[in-house]
Amino acid sequence: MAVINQHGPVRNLTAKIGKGPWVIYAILIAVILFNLVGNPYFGTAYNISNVIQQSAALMLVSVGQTFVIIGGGFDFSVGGVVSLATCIVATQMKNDPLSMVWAIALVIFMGLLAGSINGLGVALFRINPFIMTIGTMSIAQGVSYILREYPGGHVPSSYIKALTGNIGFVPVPIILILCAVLAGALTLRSTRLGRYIYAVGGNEESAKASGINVKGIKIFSFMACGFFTALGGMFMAARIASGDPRVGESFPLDSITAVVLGGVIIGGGRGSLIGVAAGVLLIVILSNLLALFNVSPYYHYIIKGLLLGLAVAITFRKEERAFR
Amino acid sequence: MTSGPQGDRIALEMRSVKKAFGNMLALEDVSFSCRYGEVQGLVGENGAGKSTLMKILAGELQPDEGMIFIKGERVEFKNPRQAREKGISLIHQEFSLVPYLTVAENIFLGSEPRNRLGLIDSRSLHRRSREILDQLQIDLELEAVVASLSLAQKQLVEIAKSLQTDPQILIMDEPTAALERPEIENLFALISRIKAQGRTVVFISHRLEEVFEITDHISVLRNGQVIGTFASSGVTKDELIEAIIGRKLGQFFPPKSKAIGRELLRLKGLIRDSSVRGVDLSLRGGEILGLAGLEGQGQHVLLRALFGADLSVKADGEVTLNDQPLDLSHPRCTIMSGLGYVPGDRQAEGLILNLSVADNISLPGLAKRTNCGLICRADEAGLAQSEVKTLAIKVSSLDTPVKTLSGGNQQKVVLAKWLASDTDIFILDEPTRGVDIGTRAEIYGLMRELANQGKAIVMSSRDLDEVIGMSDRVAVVYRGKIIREYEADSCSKEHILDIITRVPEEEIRGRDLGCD
Repeated sequence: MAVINQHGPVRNLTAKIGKGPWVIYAILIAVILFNLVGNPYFGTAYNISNVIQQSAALMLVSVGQTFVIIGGGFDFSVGGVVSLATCIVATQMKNDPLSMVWAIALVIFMGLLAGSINGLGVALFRINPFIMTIGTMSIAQGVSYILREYPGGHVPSSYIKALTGNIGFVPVPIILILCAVLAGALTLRSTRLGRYIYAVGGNEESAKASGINVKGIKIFSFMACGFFTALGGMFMAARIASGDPRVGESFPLDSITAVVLGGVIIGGGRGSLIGVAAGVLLIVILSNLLALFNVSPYYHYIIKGLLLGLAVAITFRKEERAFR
Repeated sequence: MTSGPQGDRIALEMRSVKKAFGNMLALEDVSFSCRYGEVQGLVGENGAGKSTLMKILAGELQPDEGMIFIKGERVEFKNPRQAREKGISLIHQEFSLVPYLTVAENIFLGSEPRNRLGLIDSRSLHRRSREILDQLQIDLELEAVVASLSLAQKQLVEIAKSLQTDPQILIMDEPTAALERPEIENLFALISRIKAQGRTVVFISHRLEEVFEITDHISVLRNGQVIGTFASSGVTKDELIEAIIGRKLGQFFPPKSKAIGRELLRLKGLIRDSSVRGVDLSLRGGEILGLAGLEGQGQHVLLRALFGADLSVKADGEVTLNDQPLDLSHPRCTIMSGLGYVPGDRQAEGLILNLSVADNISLPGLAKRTNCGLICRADEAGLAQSEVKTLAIKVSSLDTPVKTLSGGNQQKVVLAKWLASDTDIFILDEPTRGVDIGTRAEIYGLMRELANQGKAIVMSSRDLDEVIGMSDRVAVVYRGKIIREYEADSCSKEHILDIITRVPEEEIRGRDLGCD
């Protein structure tokens, strides 16, 4: 006979926690506590606000990356898209509101375009997402260089203030982060589109045989990624107050690392944005710490590379055990 | 048949072999022997133990008990290599050829002749490959890339490859399954030549006509036991079929339908590449229609085409549902029209293993239930809960990933998907594959209950008992066509087995004439 919910609510709760991305939160909290105690500079208002400012762009990009990875792909083009977004803002945006609207619309259109190119290539022409998205990455990179050969350009101060300032006591980047994570999580958890992304990432054939438009879902996941990445780029432009054709370089690795740290399985079908948010914060805080300790930025790359390998190995082991 | 040069000497003997997989006894005290220079047939239903027995002989499986003698000498094979060294070679149903190597390279794959420098001696490779092919009078280019060959030609390469180690005992598992009649005749000529060299061939096939044609003796396996060994010339086909099927399983199946409704689905001249060649069928409400036939006759492709699976290959023909044309271009369309498909391979196509039981169950019906794209989790859980209850799916929680469930429970989840999405027409491909006997009975009961509610079911199964036991109507599929239809009460298993195993001469002739 059916045996369901015979455990009490407590058992159910522990079961839920056991499945959730609590490990990453535990690590995150441990790292924060350790440094609040050990490093007097870490807890200063200036440093906290710095961490928040640094997190926002990566958070937006990682939300997009999560859509693609849960759907069974990954997107390297986020770097080029972020760089290009900053260059568009720095070249197209003047001080009048009309040009601001125009530049914002152009950036979002560019993000969606890059996403749909990726999606079409992967879904319709069955190009490996790795190849497809590094191709798009290169194109976006090239356009960035054409727009802004070297970092610079003009970003209106009202735009910078709007994105990096405060509303009341609350920094705008925090609002951005919350909105993006909530919107992303709601889409993934509670909409048909979101469920279908999990299904397609989990098993394309079964998804197809359940009546799902697999190609459409793949295209959608890449477009969602392009959209969030464009938002990330817009924020980046405000933060660096310029257009920089190389500013996005670290985003592909960082966003994929954050997503994997957050418990999303490469290959698709599992994971949640709540974990990814912690993954992003962990990466940013680790970078922040290394900077506080005056570790050369070159070592950051090495450490982040190791972190990615470790995160993949751990989630892979978890998978293995789950199958046993 | 006159015997070969080595007379009536026993080439191979298996004595009291036992093998169990977990709790399932696959072979229970099986004894089996062959003489030199003879072709020994091995027949039995799916799951009777033929493949297990032959895998033990070829060293791929180890018996739990029993002894094997080759030329009177006791052997114990721990792996296929040891069996090959003793002159035993098994040709699998699935080919083991490397597609982008040439014929010669494939024949000597793994035992390439080498020159003094340790490099492959391609001259010797070609000479010796040529010798093997000539000896068997196989007409193939040594330099041809295997991927470019036809199925029948690949079969020949496979046989040539197996002869490269000069085996004395050659086991062929369903070698004719994918072949057309002229190719089968070639193969039989080849088998005769192998036999004339004094070698022994064990020939496994479902097609009894062919078994009679090529073998000297026939052994019948049923439920892991040898029912008997007969001289091919001294047994009638009816006797053989009796031996193969044994007692009837009628009481296992629920009573048949009494109230069959109006026609729901009609297929007219459905064509799908070369596998489905013009099928006419009709399916009525309250009815279970069973497709019977040997493996690979197109039943599977027919069911997939009907559901709109495999989008790359277009199906042609007229399909109507309630007299309206049915769009077969994507499962999305067929599901919207009320069709549901339980695939033969549930893990590959039926389930998203990482998703929970509830998520899997709600998936196909999601499009009909969401509000502006938003999922109501409470409704979803309620729906899943009620299906879990109806089907008695054993899970600790609705959030359990389906990959942790047993095969039987997974199959129930696949059925629950379609129950939960207002399906009127169920397409069931091997509905009880890999499902334990208790769950099988439950699934049978469910199928009949659905039919009694007025739903229509079309099913296909390799298990003929299942097809006959469950169906109100049985359609026999042969090479992509329906060649016969029977009402449930007017057909016996013997009769249908006779039809599907006897290569229907008139069909072939009819088709060949049609081609001319």
